[in-house]
Amino acid sequence: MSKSELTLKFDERVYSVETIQKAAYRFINKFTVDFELIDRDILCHIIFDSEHSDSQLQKLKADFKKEILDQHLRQLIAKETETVRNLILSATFLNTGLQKIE
Amino acid sequence: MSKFKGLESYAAEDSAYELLPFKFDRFNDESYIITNIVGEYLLIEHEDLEALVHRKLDVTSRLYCQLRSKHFIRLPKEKSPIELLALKLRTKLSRLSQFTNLHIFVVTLRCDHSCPYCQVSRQSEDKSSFDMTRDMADKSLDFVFRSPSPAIKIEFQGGEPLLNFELIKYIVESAESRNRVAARDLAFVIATTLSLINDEILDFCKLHKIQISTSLDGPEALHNSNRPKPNKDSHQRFVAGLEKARARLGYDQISALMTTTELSLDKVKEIIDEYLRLGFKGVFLRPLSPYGFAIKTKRFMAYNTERWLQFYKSGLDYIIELNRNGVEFSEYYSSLILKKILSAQESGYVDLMSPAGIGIAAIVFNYDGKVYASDESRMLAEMGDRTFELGNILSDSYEDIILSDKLLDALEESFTLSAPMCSECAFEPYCGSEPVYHHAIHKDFLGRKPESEFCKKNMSIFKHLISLMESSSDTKKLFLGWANR
Ligand code: SF4
Repeated sequence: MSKSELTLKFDERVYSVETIQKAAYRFINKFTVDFELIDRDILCHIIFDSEHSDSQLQKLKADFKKEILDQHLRQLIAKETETVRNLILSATFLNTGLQKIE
Repeated sequence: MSKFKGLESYAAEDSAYELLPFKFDRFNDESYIITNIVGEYLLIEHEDLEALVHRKLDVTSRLYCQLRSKHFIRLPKEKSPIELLALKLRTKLSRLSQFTNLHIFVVTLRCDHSCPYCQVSRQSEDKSSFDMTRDMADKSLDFVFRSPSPAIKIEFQGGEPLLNFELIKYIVESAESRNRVAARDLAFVIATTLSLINDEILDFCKLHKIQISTSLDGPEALHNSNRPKPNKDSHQRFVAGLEKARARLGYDQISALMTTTELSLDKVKEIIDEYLRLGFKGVFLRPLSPYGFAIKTKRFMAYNTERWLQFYKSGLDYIIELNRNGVEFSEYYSSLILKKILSAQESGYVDLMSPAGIGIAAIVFNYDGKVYASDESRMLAEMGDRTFELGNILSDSYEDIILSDKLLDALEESFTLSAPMCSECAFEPYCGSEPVYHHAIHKDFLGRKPESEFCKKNMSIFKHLISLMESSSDTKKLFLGWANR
């Protein structure tokens, strides 16, 4: 067993802090992340709740990286579909008395 | 020439499709689940997900057609997907304008049983301390008929509500007389162990079309150890009461609920067989709630979510097998979820709503005049946590109670569409927010979802039900039947 801490580095031009934070939230039952910004690098200091073997650590690290990619994709979708989402919502509430028609 | 056009004719001229709002999550090692704004789903490979978002999908592929027909994408400026999604969403949200329809009257806390997992009941002869008064009942009925809902259900609970049958009679007759003017779709249910049922009570139920909701935990030995009575005759009295009630009221007027204790965990087949033997058409495989005595007696902690999921999954496997062999039988918790997954309807089940069902779908008038946001809320209050106590029926108005900060804060703060993790979760359209559960366990309305057993349980069930449907067309057909009942 090794002491369960590690640091990962991401380029701010590729991933936003928000994306990484959202990914980190999903692992809150396994580890916490401290962020540090140095120039264009986002440093993530990962502190695990319990001791892990090297292979477990590698697996968690890989999962975390995959989750960051997923969060990135989620943000792309959310941004791109925001207008149409609002369109659907206004069509939903139109004429139900829940929305004032200007 | 073929009557039907080839796939290419439905494709956009170039890859210029637009994305409609959708969410995704990892489903298993191979695939992702994507769900749209109304909860329609598809399982896709990771490369396809990337291709979909980056406009690299093959427009002649089967997947492209599925994505268009399930409204994950549209052609530029195409209007009908928006209109259809809005229509479905409106149907799903329509219950919001109709709250509250389930009104629970706790007519007494006294009980003839002493179940160790029961949160609230009292073994006492002291009527004055543990029975609801007529004055409270009248005020509660004033409240009930202020609800805008066209359908009103009044459910009598306890303790054992039949120990205060006189008050039940009074409430039913008063409600019916008020309803001559109010003209709502009015229904009554008594939640009872059936141990005290008699001809007088059944005649009254028959006359007023009152349904019975009762409790059956499994075969005799299991039922009796879960539900101790001095004479150890709970199951025997249940069976006798059930026969009597069915004979007088009709078969479909009596339903049963099951509580899972640690003793139940390796007996799921026996439990289902007992339901079948007694002629029930389904079972509700419920986890033990974490409230009241359940926490006090450590029974809740005696088994974890993982263990309960095993119990639920093997029960479901057995039920599917029964159906395959021609025995019609369903599992009701799955049916509620399948309704959300496979139809545009909401199940109306308090635990699976967002905004939360508390106060909106159900409200509780307690024996002592207190009003609670849900049945679980009153159980929490019995443990000393009064977070969801909305007021007192004797001193507070309808507006004070329904617009109380306690209720509105809990509803707002637990809303899944703005909750961390839930807001992006592909299963969110099927899930609920359960602020009472999270408050009981995590001391805040939201709870951190990666640590929440509620989240773990639901996510696992959603995935399981979808996997079962995806791997067998027979199971899908069966589940469609459950969803559309
Ligand atoms: S509680 Fe869990 S499963 Fe339910 S919506 Fe939230 S994250 Fe998804």
